[in-house]
Amino acid sequence: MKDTNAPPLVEISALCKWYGEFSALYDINLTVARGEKVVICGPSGSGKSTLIRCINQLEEHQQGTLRVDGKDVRPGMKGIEAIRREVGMVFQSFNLFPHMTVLDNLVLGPVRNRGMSRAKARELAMGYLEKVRIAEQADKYPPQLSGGQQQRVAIARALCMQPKIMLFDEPTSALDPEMIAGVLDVMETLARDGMTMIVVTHEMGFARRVADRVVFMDEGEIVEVAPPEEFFTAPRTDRAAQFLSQLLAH
Amino acid sequence: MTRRALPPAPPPRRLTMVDWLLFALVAAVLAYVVWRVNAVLVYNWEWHRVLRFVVRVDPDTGQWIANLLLQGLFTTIRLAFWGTILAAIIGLIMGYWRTCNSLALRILSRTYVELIRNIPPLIFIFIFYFFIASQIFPAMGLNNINTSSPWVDNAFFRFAFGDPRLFTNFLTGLICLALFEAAYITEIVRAGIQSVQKGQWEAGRAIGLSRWNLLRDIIFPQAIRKILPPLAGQFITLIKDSAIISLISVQELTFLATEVAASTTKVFETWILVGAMYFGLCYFFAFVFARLEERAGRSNHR
Repeated sequence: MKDTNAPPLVEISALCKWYGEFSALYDINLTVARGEKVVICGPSGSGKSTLIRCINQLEEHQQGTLRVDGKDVRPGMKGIEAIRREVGMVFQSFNLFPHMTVLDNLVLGPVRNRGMSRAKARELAMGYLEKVRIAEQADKYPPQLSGGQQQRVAIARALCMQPKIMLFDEPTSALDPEMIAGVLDVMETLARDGMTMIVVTHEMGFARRVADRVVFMDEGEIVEVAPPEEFFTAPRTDRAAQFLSQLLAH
Repeated sequence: MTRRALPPAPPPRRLTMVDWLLFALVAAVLAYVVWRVNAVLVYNWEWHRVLRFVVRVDPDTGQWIANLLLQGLFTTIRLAFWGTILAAIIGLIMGYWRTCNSLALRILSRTYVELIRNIPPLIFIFIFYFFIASQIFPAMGLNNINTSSPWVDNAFFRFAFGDPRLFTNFLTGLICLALFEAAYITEIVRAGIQSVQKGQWEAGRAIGLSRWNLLRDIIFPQAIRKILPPLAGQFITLIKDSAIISLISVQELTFLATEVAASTTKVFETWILVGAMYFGLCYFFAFVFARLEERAGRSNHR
């Protein structure tokens, strides 16, 4: 699946970000190859979300370089929209547009950004809605759906832009337990289809089945990067070991 | 499923002894006022002399036509209509500026809002009238518009803006009123935009929408639903505030009422009648807006 000729999809080097005096991200170096699946985990406040939100510039970094699909991404740059169109994002709280039907949520991006005709965009959107197994809800409004259904719609909405990479920011954290499996299922299918993915999650089962690498963050730094089996069975650092034992304890 | 009992009926709404006492007290105060006016002031009520200024018979055609007070009411309605449109446009732009990223635009809109909200309307209107309207409008050639040109001398113009000869005067009042009310609408719009969750902005940005598309498709439609009720309230306030425009001789209801009161000396009748006209106008719109809100509320409840 990995394409060795093209540049890596995401290249982050020496990236730093502060909130006031608080160092949110410090000296982050991470490269994500095409087709690769990376799971980021770590305690809350460790900078996981901030890191992936830097990739599509929902947060602006202050130092270091960031390249997405070979293009330099700088804070406050013109034309950031073009880069965002290649980067799909799924949020913890879904963030569907409540005043539009499910179908219109999906159609909006392709119509406005790609100049696609409404009819063609609808066709595309229905395809993705079927993929996330929710096509029968196309004409409902988001508040009428369960959390799990909303999150699957959110995934389909991001896919509708036909992005090169998908970012997931704790996609199952806001869901009731019985809803989680359906969302993870969709994400696994996506991974099997070869999508490049960066997933912030604590779902260890998912990480084991899907991830090529697990990135462990603490206090704004990357502490450890390892294949999932290795990371979960024999973490190299104490901080990772401590985090994993806490995760298992609850 | 098991059959459950229905909830008990709510107790009937009834007026208690205390309520009746309260009513009696209010009635007593009103009665005293009426007695004072009748017995002590020795006032000679002559409603017919004032009512003549609502409608009159045209001596040439023998038909009923609007007299000063009704004409004034029409001007007030025109002021309210165009004033609302103008104030909404200014308020929308300024309200957006209040929330946008550009520091310069934020400073400009903030200054505008603070300036107008912290000056008494009366003072603002005098400043505007004497320093701006009386200087700028002549420079723009608005002081002597050609009243016989086909653009001006037609039924639509008369219907929409009233007498062409008074157009400059009307326009001054209109802009004054709109600028004044728009400061409040600005704050309503700002609150509406800021009430849209941060996640909506982020989701819109994440799919790569341009700022304009984000505002048009995501933010404004959600903000509008929240700001319609306070906006309706501000519209009614605008109607009431339009009375102040009489001070710069715009011939709306209050201005003409002053003239009627002066020429007939029937002060009580004139102002009671004019008060009733304002009340009817404002209450009518309040009623319409309440119904519209009810309907919007029902369609939003999915």
